Amino acid sequence: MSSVEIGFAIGAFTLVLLALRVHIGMAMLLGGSIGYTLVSGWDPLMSYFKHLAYGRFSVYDLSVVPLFLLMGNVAAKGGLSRRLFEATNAFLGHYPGGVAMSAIGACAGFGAICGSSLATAATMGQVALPELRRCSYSPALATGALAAGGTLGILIPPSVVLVIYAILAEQNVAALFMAALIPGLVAMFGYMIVVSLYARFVPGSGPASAPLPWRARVRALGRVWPILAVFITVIGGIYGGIFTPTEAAAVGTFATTALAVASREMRWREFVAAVLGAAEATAMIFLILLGADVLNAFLALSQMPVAIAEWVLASGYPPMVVLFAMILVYLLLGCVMDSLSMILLTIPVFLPIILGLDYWGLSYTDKAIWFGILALMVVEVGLITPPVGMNVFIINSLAKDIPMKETFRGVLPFLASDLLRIVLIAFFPGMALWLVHLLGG
Amino acid sequence: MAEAIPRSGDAPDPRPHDPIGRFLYGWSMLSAIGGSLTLFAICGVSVYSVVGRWLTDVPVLGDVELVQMGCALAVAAFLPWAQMKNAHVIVDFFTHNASPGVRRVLDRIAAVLLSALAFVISWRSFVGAWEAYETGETTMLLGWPLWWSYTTLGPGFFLLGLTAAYTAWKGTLHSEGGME
Repeated sequence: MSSVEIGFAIGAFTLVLLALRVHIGMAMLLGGSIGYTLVSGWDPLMSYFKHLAYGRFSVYDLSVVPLFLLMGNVAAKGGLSRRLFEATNAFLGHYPGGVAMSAIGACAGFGAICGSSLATAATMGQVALPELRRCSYSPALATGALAAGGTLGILIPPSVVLVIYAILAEQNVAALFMAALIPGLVAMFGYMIVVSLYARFVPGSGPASAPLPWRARVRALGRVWPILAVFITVIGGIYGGIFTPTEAAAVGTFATTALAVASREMRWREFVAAVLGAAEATAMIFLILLGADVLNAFLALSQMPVAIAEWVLASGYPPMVVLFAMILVYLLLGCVMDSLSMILLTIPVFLPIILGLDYWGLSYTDKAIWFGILALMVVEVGLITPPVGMNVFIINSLAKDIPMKETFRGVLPFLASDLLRIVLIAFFPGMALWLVHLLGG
Repeated sequence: MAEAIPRSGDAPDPRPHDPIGRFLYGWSMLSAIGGSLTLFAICGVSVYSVVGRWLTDVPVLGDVELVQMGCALAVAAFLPWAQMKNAHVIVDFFTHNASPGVRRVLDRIAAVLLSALAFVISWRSFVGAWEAYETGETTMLLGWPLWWSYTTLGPGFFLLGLTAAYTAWKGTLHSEGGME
């Protein structure tokens, strides 16, 4: 067997392991190890293993991942999420569908200090669902909006998936965070428009509540300024090049913890819960990263990604056809797999193809950044599509009386907005790249 | 999936009841809390470095190395806890309709596999630490012996191996994967 053939065989083997409930990271690690042994031998593998864990866990750019997860968990347990929702609701609640729009706005705000979609969905779900029920919103709209809104956690920087992409693609994390901002805001407004249309076309689904007096609104806004300050420091500091993303995450974690403790909503119990939650999420991500490292090291040895890229480039398919074929692959994979694993499995194969094709005359770096944003958007769709829409599961577990079917039905209009946005970014790379060029990332 | 599945607050937290399980559970939790405190220490170093750079234009020497070492230590310390909470990610789409018995057997095989691989990585990390000690390698800026930080990884993987072996033996605490 040639090494490329071994590459394909190991790829298939890994997928079989995955289907048989082996932990994703371990499936990749085992597949990669076997392939590595077949191509290079046992001793090189054992020698590589000596530095595997330290080499993977001590990457400076990766250290933002545990820090951002810590920050998000502290913010969630420290009552910051509730204040965000109260503030958006004070301004939007009196429009038809307004409470659901507020939930989406609050998700976006929370996404700005949290790099994870599932944490955003869970946190905002706990905060906003009771209010949506009290205002007798239709179950489909209420749960659909929250499941979709949760994806803003990762679409709006900081974003764990983007950090991983940046490392795989050898791109600047800060530049990717810049590129994600406008598409993330477009996503937020897109979801709000969907809610507004839904409330208009399905009468009684999203009743308007009584408007609050301005004084109450200003007071609600006054209670979120510390969160805004943290966000502006963290993201502004990264965009302005004042500090590295890791330093920004450290400053943000410090500030968020101080806020949570000062607000008296975080006591020892909440603190331990937040810290253990962050530990769980971090371990989960790094075990997958460890496995992916071995698999990707083997794939690079086997030359399989290069062979696939050459084949696609030689086939002469139009670049846009290739791009949309990849998007389709992501949408299908998203039905069974989580976003991070999809990125880790596909980027080593897909990115060289994208970089070898011509898209709108973009430079090499611009193409890598644009494709990263596009991939991020597409893998996030997997969180709300059946049969394994994780965000839908989470919201549903918070509202056990609402049938899952109802939630998936409620998510459909938001999916339409997702797909529209993906097509827009595919055809207008400027949406992602404009800010990067402006700030000179 | 790739991120923590935050469980709703009112669900009782399943804990092991046998002595070995309780011991491993407690040890994993301590390890996770210790790792988190390390992360907070990293935050402290970074904040100090940022403020120092801002006030005096002199960054802390080797802050990047401290972050790297602390981060590696913390991540390794977190791994056993995630296994205790059954948080490591699987794809359960294809076995969704299989009988609980089949799923249980597959889950135990997966746990055995995880345990074995964790022990291998633990062993190799210690070998890596030993070699770094013998060659006397040091970090570039601080000049600290590299074997210090290599040594912090082995125990995490060793405990991961133990907790995975325990879950292979007893079944996971959330035996249905906790999600459906």
